[in-house]
Amino acid sequence: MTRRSTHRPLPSGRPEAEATALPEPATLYVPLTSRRLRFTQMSVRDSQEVRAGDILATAPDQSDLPLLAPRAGTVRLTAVPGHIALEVARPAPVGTVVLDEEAIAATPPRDAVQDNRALLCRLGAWQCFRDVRTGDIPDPCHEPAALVIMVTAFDSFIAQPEALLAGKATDFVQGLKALHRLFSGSGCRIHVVVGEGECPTAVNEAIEAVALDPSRFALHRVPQLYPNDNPQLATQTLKLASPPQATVWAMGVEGVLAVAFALTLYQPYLERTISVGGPAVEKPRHVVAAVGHPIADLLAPLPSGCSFRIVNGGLMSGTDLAPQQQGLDGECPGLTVVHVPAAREFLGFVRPGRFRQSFSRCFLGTLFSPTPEPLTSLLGGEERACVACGHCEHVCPANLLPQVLHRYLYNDQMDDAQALGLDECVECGLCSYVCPCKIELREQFAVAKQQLRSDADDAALATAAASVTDQ
Amino acid sequence: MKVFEKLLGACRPLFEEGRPLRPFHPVFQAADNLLFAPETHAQAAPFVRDALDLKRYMSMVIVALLPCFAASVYFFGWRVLLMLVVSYVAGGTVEVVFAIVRKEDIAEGFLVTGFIFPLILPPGTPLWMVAVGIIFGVIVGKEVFGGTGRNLFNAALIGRCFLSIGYPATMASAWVPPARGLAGKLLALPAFNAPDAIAAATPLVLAGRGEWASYSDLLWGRVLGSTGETSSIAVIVGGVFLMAVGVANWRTVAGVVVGFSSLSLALHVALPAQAPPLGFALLAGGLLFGALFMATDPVTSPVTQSGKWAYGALIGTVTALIRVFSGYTEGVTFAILLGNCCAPLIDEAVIRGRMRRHARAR
Repeated sequence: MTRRSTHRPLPSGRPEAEATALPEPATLYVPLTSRRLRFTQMSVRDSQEVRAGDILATAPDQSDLPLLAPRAGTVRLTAVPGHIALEVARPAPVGTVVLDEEAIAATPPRDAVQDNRALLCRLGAWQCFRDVRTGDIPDPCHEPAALVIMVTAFDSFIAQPEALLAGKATDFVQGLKALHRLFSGSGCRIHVVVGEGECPTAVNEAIEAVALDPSRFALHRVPQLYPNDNPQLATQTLKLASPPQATVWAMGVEGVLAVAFALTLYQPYLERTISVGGPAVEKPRHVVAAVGHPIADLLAPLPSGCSFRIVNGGLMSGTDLAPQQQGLDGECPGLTVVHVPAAREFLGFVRPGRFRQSFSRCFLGTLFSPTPEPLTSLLGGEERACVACGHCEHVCPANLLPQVLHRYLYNDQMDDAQALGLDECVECGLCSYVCPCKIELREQFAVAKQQLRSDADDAALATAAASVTDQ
Repeated sequence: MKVFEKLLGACRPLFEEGRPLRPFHPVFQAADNLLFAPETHAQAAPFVRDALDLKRYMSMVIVALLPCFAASVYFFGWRVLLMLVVSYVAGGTVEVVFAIVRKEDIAEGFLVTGFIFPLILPPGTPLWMVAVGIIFGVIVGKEVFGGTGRNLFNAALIGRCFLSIGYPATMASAWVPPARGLAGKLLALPAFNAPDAIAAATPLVLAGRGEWASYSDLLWGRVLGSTGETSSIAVIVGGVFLMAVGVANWRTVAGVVVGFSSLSLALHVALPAQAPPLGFALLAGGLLFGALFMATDPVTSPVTQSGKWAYGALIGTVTALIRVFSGYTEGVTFAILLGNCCAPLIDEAVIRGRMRRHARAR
């Protein structure tokens, strides 16, 4: 994979690779919404006792995918709005197997692939898949042309593969084999993408196992630079799909582990390993915690006396953590915290900028090797009309012309934007990051892409309705 | 710092909605923006942003122009500073008036336009003409298009072009002989009325008559010409800095130099009587200044990187053609304005090519 730019932000607060298991809290606050999922259909009553892995709620709009109880305990439905509070049973009951092997074997065999997919849905592993083009959770009845497993994490900061794979390399390989069985019938090839250069031992073990079996898996190495961990970018630049518009699904390391647990142990994968990092975090680290673990506990200790902003995910591709969210959600790859400075910088633009990071070479820091900087969420400048400096074009990994796309979208020329490859934008945010005019390019492109998709869906529905009427 | 913070804090309510000074809010906002970084935060991902803002970006051009400015003060005296003040005051007033009418912020682009304008005028240009030129340039070259970022033409060049066409006799007699000696004109008082102005000839005009300025004079700047363009060394130092920091796009500069050099060389071989040798053609006149500081204006150049090559080459070749085949001895101004006209077309060609590639890939 080639990238034209080698720039990446370098915020301070990189998490330690080793993951720490946090003490079990008395109550877990399981959010009913996460980035892609809305669990609106309750499956439990207030005060009901549940086992670990029991279904708490389902998402009717997304193939009834379940929200699983991360631990055994007592459900409190009204304690915190938007969450299911779960008072964890003490001592924790031994064994959290939800579906035992005999029960599975007893069911009359039908289509093995469909059964396995149903099992993945039931055990909460299906939501680990994503369609690389839309970012949505794919329909279990559909077939992808290729499956991409991203063993990479280059955004600052999300859980690193070495932390996720520590002690679980065997499970990972089992998961890959299970995925091969699941998709091989449809001719779908599995591509494993890892970073170039020295890999941590845990990742190496997994890679070796995959590399031994080239008939089943294709191994790709990408430069260890953001946004090479983006599955859509990998699909486009490595040309993993043929034709290019073919459906490709992607999955991360935790997804493969969830598949391994579901298809080989018939268990839900209830542990989550996330990174907790960023300039405002005192002890940047990886932590092992259950879904619903209180956010305040995960971030503790946070510095007192200053404001900060919590990002659900990495600084480049995450989302703002909703202020009402109390517990860890099932899709969060990491929590990143940045300072919100109280004072405005005086004459910042005339300072030499010895420690300033910039894609441009307008600061003295260009002459020195970059050092991690306590970056904040301030824009650092006024929002202005585009001056066509071309920085966005230089950094765009998808080889697009963001400055021209911006002009088209500003003038509402959707067709031209689409013809110029708007749907190939991987929403990495590098264009917004480097823009000296502080234009929210990534957001503008994301909204426009969503609009294009809903227009296409509407058009497809209208065509279907017309054909039904004709008949 | 605290003093400024308190002062701005005390003044802020006077410019709020419903207060009598509200129409002048852009002026207050400009002062606030100049002194302090804004409090705005990233609305969405990415949650951190590059330290570069437009103020810094434009300041780099000012820094790059400082060698030219210093050389011009040395050769032509402190009058250049007076011209600069007039340019900033007159052009700044237009900028403020438009910002007030439009209820928009004052954009940073004017910092560069106001600085560069006196440097492309003859040193003896009457001060009122400096004011007229910059006012015309800012209004017609920029504000009618909607301000910085939306202008089609380089505002300073539009002003220069207006003065050349509107006041040809005055402009032709506004050349000032450069100073010599260690202190140059640094110790002389500025002359308001340009008493030294003479109807003399620039190196390109003299070359037409077979009189050649020496290369050392061309390099150091001891020749007649526009205030900022005479010293090739100062221009090159500033220009290389501007390319090194990434504000001037090297593709445009390379396009101009390659386009101009290849055509000039061919013309010199074919028509040695009309076309001067390449080295002389490159150093004499405003080619280098135009290539490094005017053609590289990102707003009026093509926005695509590959388009910049074609744009530069167009400017270079047109300059060579104007110099050799037209009545004008200098052609950079018109060539760049022609390039500005063609920039959208060049972009369109690049974009259509991209669209075809995307269509094929699907």
